[in-house]
Amino acid sequence: MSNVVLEKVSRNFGKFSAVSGVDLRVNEGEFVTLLGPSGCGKTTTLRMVAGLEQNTGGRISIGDRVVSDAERGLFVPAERRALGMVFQSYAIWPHMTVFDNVAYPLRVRRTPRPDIRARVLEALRLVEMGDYADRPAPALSGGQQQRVAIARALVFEPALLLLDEPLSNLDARLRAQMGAEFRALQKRLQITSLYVTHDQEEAMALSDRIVVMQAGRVLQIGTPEEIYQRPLSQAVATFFGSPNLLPATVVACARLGESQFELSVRGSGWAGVCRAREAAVKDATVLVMVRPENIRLVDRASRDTGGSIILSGRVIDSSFHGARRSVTIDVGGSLMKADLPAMAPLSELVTLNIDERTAWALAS
Amino acid sequence: MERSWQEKAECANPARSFASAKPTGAEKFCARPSLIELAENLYPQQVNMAISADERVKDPGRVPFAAGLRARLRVLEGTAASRTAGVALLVVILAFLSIYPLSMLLYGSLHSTPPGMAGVFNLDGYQAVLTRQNLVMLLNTVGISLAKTIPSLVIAVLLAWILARTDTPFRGALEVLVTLPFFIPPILTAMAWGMLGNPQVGLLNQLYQWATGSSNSPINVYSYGGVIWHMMQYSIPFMFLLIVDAFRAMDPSLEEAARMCGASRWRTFRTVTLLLILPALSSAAILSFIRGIENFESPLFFGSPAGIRVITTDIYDSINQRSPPQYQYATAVSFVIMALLLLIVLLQWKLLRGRNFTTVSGKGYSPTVMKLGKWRWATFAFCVLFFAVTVVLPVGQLLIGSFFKFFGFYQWDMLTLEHYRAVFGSSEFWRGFGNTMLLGLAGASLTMVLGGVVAYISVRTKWRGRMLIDVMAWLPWMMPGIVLGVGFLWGFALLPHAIPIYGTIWALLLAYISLGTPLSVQVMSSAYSQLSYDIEECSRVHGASWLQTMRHIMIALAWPSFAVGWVLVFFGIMRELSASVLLYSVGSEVLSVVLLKLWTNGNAEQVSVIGLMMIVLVVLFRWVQLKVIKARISTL
Amino acid sequence: MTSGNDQAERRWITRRAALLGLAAGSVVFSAPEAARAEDEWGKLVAAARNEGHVVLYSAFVGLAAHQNLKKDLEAAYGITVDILEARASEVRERIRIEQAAGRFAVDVSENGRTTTTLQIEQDHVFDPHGMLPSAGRLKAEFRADDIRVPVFAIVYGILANTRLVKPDDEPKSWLDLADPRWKGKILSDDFRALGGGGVLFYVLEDHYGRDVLEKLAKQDLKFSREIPANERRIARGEYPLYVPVSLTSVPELKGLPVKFLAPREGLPFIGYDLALLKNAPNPNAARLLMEYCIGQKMQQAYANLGLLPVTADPLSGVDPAVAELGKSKLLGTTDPARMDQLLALARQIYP
Repeated sequence: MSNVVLEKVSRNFGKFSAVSGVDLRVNEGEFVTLLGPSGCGKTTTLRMVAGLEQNTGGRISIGDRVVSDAERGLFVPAERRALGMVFQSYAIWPHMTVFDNVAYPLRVRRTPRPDIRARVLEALRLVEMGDYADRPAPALSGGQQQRVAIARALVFEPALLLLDEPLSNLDARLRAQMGAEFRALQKRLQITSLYVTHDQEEAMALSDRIVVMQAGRVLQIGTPEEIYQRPLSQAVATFFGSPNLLPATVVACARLGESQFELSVRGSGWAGVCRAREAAVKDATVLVMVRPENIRLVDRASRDTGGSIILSGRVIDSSFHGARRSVTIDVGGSLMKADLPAMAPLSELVTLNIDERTAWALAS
Repeated sequence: MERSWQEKAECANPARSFASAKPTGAEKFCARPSLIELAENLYPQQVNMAISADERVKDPGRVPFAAGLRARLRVLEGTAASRTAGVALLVVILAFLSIYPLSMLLYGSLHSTPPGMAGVFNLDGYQAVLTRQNLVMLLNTVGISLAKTIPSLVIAVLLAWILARTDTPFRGALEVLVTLPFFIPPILTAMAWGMLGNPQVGLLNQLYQWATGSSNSPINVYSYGGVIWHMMQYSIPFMFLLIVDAFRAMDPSLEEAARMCGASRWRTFRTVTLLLILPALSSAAILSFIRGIENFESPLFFGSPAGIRVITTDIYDSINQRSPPQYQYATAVSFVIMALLLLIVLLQWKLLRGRNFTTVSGKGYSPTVMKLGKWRWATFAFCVLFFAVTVVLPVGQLLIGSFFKFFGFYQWDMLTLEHYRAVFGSSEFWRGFGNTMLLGLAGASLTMVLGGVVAYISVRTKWRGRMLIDVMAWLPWMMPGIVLGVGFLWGFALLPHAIPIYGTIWALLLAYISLGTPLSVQVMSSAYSQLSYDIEECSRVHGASWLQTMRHIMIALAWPSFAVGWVLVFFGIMRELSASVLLYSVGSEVLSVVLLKLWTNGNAEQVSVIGLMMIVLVVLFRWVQLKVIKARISTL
Repeated sequence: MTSGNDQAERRWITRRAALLGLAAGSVVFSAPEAARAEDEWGKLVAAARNEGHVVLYSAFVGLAAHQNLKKDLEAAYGITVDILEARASEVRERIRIEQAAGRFAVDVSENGRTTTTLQIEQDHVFDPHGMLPSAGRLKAEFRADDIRVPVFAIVYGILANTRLVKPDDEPKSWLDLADPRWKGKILSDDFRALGGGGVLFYVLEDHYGRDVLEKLAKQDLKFSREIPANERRIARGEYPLYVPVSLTSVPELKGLPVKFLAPREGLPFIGYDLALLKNAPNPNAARLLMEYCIGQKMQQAYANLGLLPVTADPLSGVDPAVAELGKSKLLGTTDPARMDQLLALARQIYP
């Protein structure tokens, strides 16, 4: 297994910059996801690592080999990088059988015939497609094709596995199932993987780390928890779910630890304490992010005041989502959303209790 | 289900959306996960991108959502009753266009005299065919056709790959230029090559002698080599035109996957690209091979002086050089040939129809272009060389020659514009040109539409009788043009007088449609076999009727092939002579007949002028066609 | 299409014309008969004007004189002439199938003698034309019969490149072609095909027998059917000699280093005939057209093109070179009855 290092990698088409200044280090055995909306440059970045596109700036190394250096004009083409790749459309060749599809990379490497057979069958067993070896490829369903694509990508034991939105063509049920299976496989084989998707839940469920991208730039790199709970910017915060953003002014700032600060803030009609990554000066304006599931609603009448931020409001709408209930609350003119357990009691006039550990300040 | 309806409404009114849909519309629709979920709720099996032909499109008439009168009307359009009526109509049309003239010819082959004359039924015609001499001639013909088809295919594939998948400079211009040779009337290129390659005073030989100082004339165009070389001028651009879009429309991830597996570009090309393009390749090769067998001008011009005999010149002679004309023999030979060619075509169908190679999905990729680095100048040079040899050399001769009183005589005192004046001042020319343009535009459009429908039924449905329709559409291609023209003459003349076809311009139009349909069916079949079914299903799921789907999705996505086929058919009509000379009437003279008149009257120079004008027309058409395709492809 | 009255009238006119023909052909030509003949002809012209239209199918593709014909008949009689041109067998087949299908669209056929004869014998598509006033002026070789009227003839000679063939070496006789010095140097229209080549073969065989042709076979003749290209090939010097070349090429090739040679035995020729179609929609205009074609003006037009006129009228204004050559002896023409046989022989000698 190898690591991947991207240093200031960029890709320009004339004046248009599809990817600019990406710095990333994927460690051995790590599962890193490039996440972002369409057009953010995540697929382009992946393809640059694959060698299907050439970066116009920066350097890419795989293992201890530099595979692409824009300044020095060095570029190793895709077929010589020995990477496994799973495409969004699976790219299973319709004119071959399943066996031939998976055996292709071994045949290219002139592996001896008996070895090919053994390794192909093993790869197919790995993805639970062992019985389908002699089927013609077009006869497979989407999920089956995807497994074959994975088998083909793994059969020659590549240094790195690249996956370009491999689950997006499957239905929801299958997506979750395949995702979990793949994650298990990856952990077992300890294979370094670079994964691209636009689905944030998928990214959070599968990855060791996530790279959030937008308009060709990296917004934040971190573990799913970090990114979800401690986003660096409003853009990253709003990418996951629909958090509430409360404008507030900083009153005081205290350091709690390495990259952890406690801010006392005041908003319109409320005051409280929240956390932040950086120190803030007095009177600085911030946005306090509070995720809907972290709001505790109690009836106004009960004087439960546990919580470091307390707001009062009136419930104006609620919708049922099976396990949870989504509630819209009018707080002094602005709307906030809260997620409650479905069976929780709900009154019209409520108090919102927010724990300071779940309130996170973002620069506004 | 409630959410699904909302989503569907969200996706805008289907009728409206498809009225304005460009291919991007379809692609955008289909790439959304919600649609897949939607579709998955409709069909019990999992929605997949698989391309198994067996489960697909069993009943395109079934429209799942039927809300409101509009939807109910659409359901009616798609019912089994209307479908059967449509197919029946198609069968009637095809039968009239192909079976009727062929049945006339069959009668001719079994009857001692042509229709309308007293005679007896016998098998004399067929007996006369089965002689050893004829067998030798048949082998000769087949040999020549093979010898020209195989190298042409190789060169055509190379050119298609260079111009569709690499970053060779000036690809757009080259694509137009490389296909020009096909559109030049054969008699003109024959004349030009005769001037270049004759052993006595041919320019090429003189060049060789000047360069090497020897007195040998290595190039003799009046030989097997000359015949094959001349035929290749036409088959290379012909096959190129049929193949290039298959290359262009391929899903690039199929090749990228191979490269990621470590395959070199050459290996990728060999094991993945070529095999995926195989249906287009084989159909192009078969079409070209059949044309080679039926080719008439090349063996006549370059083969007769060398004593080379082929079947078509024999047929021509038996009709025009015997008294009484040997129609029975000619038609019998034609049917024997047709039977053989039908066998070959059926063989190809059996081998390749079972395997669908979908390479165009709804994913909306444009094919990646391979960077060749320094080598792109080598490929550029190759294309330029090809163009120079096949176009510049002969057309240059024509161009220069057209300004001189006599073709090939370059003397100062012979410079003149009289030929141009004569041609463009001739009302007969303009009449013929106008008629041909009219017939070409109408004929090509109708032919492509008919071909599109037949191809669709044949390739994308499992309807009973689709094989019959396909064969009927193909038959005219396999009959030599000379004989087929006679079949039309007999067929149309013997119709009841109440049907106003014979003696009118309709006779020509119908004949052209019949002659062009095999090509249009083939072109559209290749295009359709490359489209994945999900695109079509997406449209149906949104409630579009079969006809709307056809128009907005199938033809729109197969548009490049449609355009190529249209151009090929149009210029085929422009050049068609055998049927035209028998069916034209006063007032419906066509350009090819005008050309014939000029040629037989010794006006080689005026024929050159017209030929040059046709080339200009071709360049114009092809430029427009490619610009339109570029616009479409970039939005795919 | 036409009313019963018209049809009856036409039949009446035709029958009258036939009777007229018999009368005119009789040896004793009495004056009152002559006057009556003129009168009848005047009636025919009036009826033709009435018809106003005539359709001609011609096997001489691209004949420039057709334009003259159209212009003249339009100007002089107000009759529009529609001419459809195709090659000999194509015209023949169109006429045959149209007649068989009951489609009567054409009035006059213009085709080579061979084809016309075969049409008369096998297809039975013509009607007697009734004697035409100018029929008496036809040359001896070109007598009309009651069905066909000769209109012009194509004469053939040898085309020589003046740079490659010095005056002394020019073949003066057809037999000179067998001279070994011309081996491999003669380009020829295909002997095995109907057309100039077939005519030459027939005529040579007829006059000199088979051996001459077998000797010619040893001369390694190169056959090619693309006549315009062939003529230019001679001019370019690819070959020194080309046979047979039609006299019509002479005006066209003016300026090129080529020369038309008329061997002393004479020139083979092939005549073209006009014939009246059965059930012609415009029979009077048709006959008027036929008469006009053997009139002086049209014959002059033919002569100008290098065709041999069929009437004995004196002609003026013809290119002197062409006129001179046109006066050459005639060697002979083909007999349709034997044509097939001879073509088979040609295929035998020149495989």
